Amino acid sequence: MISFKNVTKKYGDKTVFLNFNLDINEHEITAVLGESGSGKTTLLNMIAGLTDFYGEITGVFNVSMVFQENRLVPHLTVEENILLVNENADVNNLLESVGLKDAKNLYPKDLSAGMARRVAIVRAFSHPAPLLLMDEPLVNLDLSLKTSLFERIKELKEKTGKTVIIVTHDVKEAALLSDRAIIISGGKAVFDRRGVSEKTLERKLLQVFSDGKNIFS
Amino acid sequence: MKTRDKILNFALPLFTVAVIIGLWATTAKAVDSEYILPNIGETLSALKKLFKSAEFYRAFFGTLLRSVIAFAISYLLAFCTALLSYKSEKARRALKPVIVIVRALPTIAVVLLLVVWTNSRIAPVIVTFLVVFPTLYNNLYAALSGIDKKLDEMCTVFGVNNKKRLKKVVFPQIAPEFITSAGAGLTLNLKLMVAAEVLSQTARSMGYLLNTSKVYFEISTMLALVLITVVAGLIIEWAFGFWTKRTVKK
Repeated sequence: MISFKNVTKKYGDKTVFLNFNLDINEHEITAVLGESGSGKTTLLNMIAGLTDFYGEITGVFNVSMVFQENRLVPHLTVEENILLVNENADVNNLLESVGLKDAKNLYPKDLSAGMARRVAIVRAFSHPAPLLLMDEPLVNLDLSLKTSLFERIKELKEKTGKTVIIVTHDVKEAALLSDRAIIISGGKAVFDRRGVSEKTLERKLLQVFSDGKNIFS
Repeated sequence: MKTRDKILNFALPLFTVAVIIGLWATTAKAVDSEYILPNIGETLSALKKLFKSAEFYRAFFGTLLRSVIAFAISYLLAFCTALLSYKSEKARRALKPVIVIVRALPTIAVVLLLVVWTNSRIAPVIVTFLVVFPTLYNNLYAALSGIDKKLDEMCTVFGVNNKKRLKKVVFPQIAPEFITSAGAGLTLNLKLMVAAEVLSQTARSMGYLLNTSKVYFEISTMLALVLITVVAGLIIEWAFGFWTKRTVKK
């Protein structure tokens, strides 16, 4: 289990999390929602060890991550980008699974936004870490690709038992993909439920947006 | 379009060189005095004479060796200080006045002082170091500052080891600037070395040959020596440019 214990994170004078506590179960897909600036990406960065904070996060060892930006190395080909994080990755298979069979030898500058996103996703998939962090992974992708990636992410969890944490703005994505959905606002988890429907999640999110006076401050 | 560009890239510099040579030939003809401006033929025969003399080779390679030594010291120190500045903001601030002062030093005055304090072989090395070092420091610091921190974070998250990170992610980002700076630095070094040798009267040097030619009014030899320095500088720049192109895959 990944546990946040009294975690406090500040950016200058702005407090993003104050004594934040949360437990995330292993082998589940957890979706984290919230308005811009609520600390969703910060939450992932704290887990990944990319930012300092006060308090403790336990249960995290190795992670793989789909960043908000693709962060592909521009002077390496698609294949080399994947092999950089896992030398034993089955590149052909991975690329075929996201419809990029012929993109192996292309450089990131030759890829469309959607193609680059898919490469960033399969790079994270290829890594053997038990925890996969995904920050807005499905932006810039069309519906059919989104649907196929939903299946891939679920399959990945089923086959490898990975724990997946997805930060998203997309209510539908969160409802369809996750075992559990959490809404963060004002540095707290204001909503936390399993098996939630898209409508409930949307209603709750709208309620949080309109209720929380501090949200847009 | 690409073929046209290639032709233009080749033809335009050639045209410029032809204009310079034409101007030289015309002016030399108008002046009509080998003691003021020798013509191309006289300069070429002086060049031929130089190539046949052992003294020239001793001077040329002496200058080249001193240039390489001065450059190696400058580059190594510039790299170490740039790395220090990149890693520590305090170090960068502490080094800033040193760089500014070194850059502001009047080269010719320093050469004369250094000849008094050291000797005519060491003085040019120190002077070229003092001129080249701040430029190299700035270029190398800029290259290091250009390293993409987000890619570095990506490597940290995925646990990419340091050796692989340096080889596949960091080095290709900084290599072009590092190699270009080296080429430009070495060319500048060579030019400055010759100038400093002239002032220091360094034995077995291009500067010394230039001085001797001036004393005996051998203007064609002086022009030939300048021509050799220019060509040597161009060869260095071309070689480093070629190396940069080979290093940058994409």
